[in-house]
Amino acid sequence: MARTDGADVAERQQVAFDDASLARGKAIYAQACVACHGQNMRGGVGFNLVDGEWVHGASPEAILSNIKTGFPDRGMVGFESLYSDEELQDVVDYIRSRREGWESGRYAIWPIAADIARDDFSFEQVMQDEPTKAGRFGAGLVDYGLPEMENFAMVVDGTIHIPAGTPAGVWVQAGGGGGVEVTIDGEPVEPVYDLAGAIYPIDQGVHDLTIAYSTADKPNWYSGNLNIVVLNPETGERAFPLSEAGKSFLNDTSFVIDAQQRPRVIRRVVNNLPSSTISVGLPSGMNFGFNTKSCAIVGAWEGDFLDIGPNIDGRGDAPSVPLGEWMFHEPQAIALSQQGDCRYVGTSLQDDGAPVFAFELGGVPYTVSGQATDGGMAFVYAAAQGRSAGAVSMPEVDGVEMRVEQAGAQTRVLLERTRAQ
Amino acid sequence: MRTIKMKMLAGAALVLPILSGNVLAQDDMVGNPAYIPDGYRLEAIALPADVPFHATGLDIDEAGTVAVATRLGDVWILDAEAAAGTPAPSDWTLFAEGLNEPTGLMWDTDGTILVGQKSELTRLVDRDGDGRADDYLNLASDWEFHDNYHEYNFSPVRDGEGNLVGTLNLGHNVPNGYSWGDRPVMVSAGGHRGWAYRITPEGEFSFFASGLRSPAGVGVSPDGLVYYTDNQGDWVPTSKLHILEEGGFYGHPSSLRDHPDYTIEKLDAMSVEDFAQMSETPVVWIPHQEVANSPGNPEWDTTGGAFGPFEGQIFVGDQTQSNVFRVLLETVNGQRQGAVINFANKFQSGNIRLAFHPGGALWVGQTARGWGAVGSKPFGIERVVWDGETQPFELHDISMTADGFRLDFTGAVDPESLSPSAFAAEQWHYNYSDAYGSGKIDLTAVDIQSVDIAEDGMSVSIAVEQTPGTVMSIDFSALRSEDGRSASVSKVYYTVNTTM
Ligand code: HEC
Repeated sequence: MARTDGADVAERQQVAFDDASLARGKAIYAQACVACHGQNMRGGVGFNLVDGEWVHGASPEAILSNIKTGFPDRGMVGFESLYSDEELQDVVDYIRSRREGWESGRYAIWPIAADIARDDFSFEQVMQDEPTKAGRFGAGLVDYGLPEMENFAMVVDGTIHIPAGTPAGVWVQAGGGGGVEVTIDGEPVEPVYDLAGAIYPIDQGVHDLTIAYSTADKPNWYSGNLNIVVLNPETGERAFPLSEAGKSFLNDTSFVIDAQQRPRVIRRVVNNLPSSTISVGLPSGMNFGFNTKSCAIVGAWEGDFLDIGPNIDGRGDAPSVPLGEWMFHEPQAIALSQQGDCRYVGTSLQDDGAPVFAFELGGVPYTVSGQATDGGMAFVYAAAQGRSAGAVSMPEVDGVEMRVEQAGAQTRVLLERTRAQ
Repeated sequence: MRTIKMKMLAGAALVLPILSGNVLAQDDMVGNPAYIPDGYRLEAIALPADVPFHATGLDIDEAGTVAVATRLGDVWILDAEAAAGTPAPSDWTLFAEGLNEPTGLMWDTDGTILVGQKSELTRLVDRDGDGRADDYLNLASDWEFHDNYHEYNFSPVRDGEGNLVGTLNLGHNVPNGYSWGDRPVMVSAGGHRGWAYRITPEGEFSFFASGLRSPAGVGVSPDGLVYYTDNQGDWVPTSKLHILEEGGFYGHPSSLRDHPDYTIEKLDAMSVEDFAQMSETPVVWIPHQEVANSPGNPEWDTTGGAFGPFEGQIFVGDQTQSNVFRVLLETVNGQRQGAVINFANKFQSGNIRLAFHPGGALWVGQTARGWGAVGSKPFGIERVVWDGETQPFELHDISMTADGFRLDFTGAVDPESLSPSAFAAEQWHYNYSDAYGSGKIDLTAVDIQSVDIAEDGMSVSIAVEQTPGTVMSIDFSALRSEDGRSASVSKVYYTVNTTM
């Protein structure tokens, strides 16, 4: 990217950490720091520790010394009397290993013709010319309001940190068009798509990331809203923003429905669950989805039920996010083995608010409901007139045991985790 | 940087403006000057605290009990006593929740509530009478929902024969979505998107009409016919109101992929002219921006005069303009046609649902999420109230005559204010195509040849040449009432489908 010169990229800070040290640091953090700096270190009472912005010093030495002495007059005690220097050094390592977002980066902007067709547009060609604007940004966010024009190409490149622990992808939501090209460490990356944008998978660690965007074929349409967010492509859970619009997007969208007080029944577009699924959250923290088109249980997860925020934000073009850990989801399913067309009849809420789903398979009426058990969850099938619901097909899931029990006319499918996640 | 090729996000469709109408609307969002007839006022209704109350389903039963479905998926009820007075936030009770972005709601005669979720038409039953729905019953789900944000199910209403009727929005950016031509338009990925459906009293389900685009409002006239509005966009040159009939094709080709007489190959080989030939004619065109950009449901004033002098007329709200307009229909040569005229604007949010309260107020359900509105609030409910005394001075009705139009007023017109130059008329038509909306084509000024006032001063006749297939606007801002008032709205738009 010769054309963004004049704006140097800082030296990469690739840090190698020792796993045992990280594990010790994690344990101390969870005990002593989490209340003020948050589960994800993105701040609370205390500052965000993973965005690369350091108010009191960025070097490992400075961080260690800040933790030891604390800021007694500003709400943080010193920890030197509680932990040894070695222990606190582990915490420093753990914090530094969680670093996320841009280290630093550059941008360059070129105007393009309003009527250029997508097929006639190429970044290479545009980049022959001097950019009309170029500059750099620090450990902050890219601002797609910078072009201040309607038809443009903008190329951003920089160093990015992806923390370990969860799979990650760079999610780009171009809000209705334009063209996007992403390269990671110099290699073009093919995206996978979710309902609302493109996800470019990225490994943990420190990378060179280039995002080229143009408004070609979408003239006069630019709104400044390029949402760029790092998320977990497996759960859809959003982690941290890379663009200004992505930040407001994250701030605005969360709308968590929890089932702690009573069972919740919600019909919405949900990541990894097929259309027409009804999602159920039980107070025990077990959740599942019943598909009204196939009459099957198409997912089960443990956690705080659903964040429907993305699905009720703007036009609602992004799916709701199941919170917690999947046990299984589509295409895996639990279903009666009985063949025949399924017709969903309806949902009846019991006195406690828990749903019973009624359906017909091959003309025979059945019901199914989900219940908490000591170790997990049970799906209870019953047929009309006290007949047996018959056999059930179940998926093979690593780390989850499923078995069937017949209790009178009821068929119970029991789910239990065999190992902790 | 190397090997940069352009790539598209999520398939070809994403390069299109996401429902461009709205963005156009935002550019235009200057807002028209304020208007409301004398004696009328707007009242905001207090809502439960901290609830996103995007009111997209609204119905009021004969006793005056208000039921609202919200985009969040709740159904709320306001009892008749509270609705007749000044409701407090605590007067609302939650009846049902967790529904998939409902955009329609109807009280059934047995006291159950029908609600149009995206993926299902559902009956809500309170079995034990505790004020909360226990059963959510599947009445119909025979269409496909592809998880697309735009695939609304606007339902239900009950027509004169007892059928339940609903309309299905096309999708936008749906994988494998079909649209005719190269332009970025609304698509169908199959499963009868863009169709109207009905369920007979015997429970028989069918898809009975096609060609719908964004059919956001369905209503039934006192004589039992189903009317629907469609929003301006591709194949809809300006928003419009139709009578929805068995077998009708209403202009948008994407829906035809599910029509037994067509295949995608066959459709691709057809021309704009072919589709134009097949299309039904709307009863009125609703001029973009001046009157409406995204109209909701047509609602008939059947309050017996409790809402003032407009008994029997149609009221429609607009989501973008945050206004309400009237539709004045008549039958000419056996064909329904008529006019639109603005009624009131400056509502707090986007008006999508209207329902008359038996006491005479016009209730308005509102949302501005995803599609901006002139009114700045994200959601809400307002009502329009007439004080019961003040006679407004407004155009009451308009009807076609052999040589022009007769304009009836709600009060006597001052003959002094009358002359041919007191009127200004223009005429134009629209261009039907896959382009997003149409401007006014062949816009021309039309001569007012003569004017004549009735003996009682209540109506004025104008002679003017009429051309079938055009819309005529008549501006009468120079007119004054006997007591010196001018009308709050002085421009009416008549759709001349046929002449006498
Ligand atoms: C009671 C709340 C609280 C606890 C517990 C706490 N902190 Fe803090 N921390 C703060 C506050 C408040 C600040 C910001 C002080 C200021 O205003 O400058 C801070 C600042 C910091 C800073 C400096 C950040 C910067 O930008 O330079 C570091 C590093 C830090 N904390 C690490 C830790 C670690 C590690 C732990 C656990 C061993 C911990 N904190 C526990 C409240 C807390």
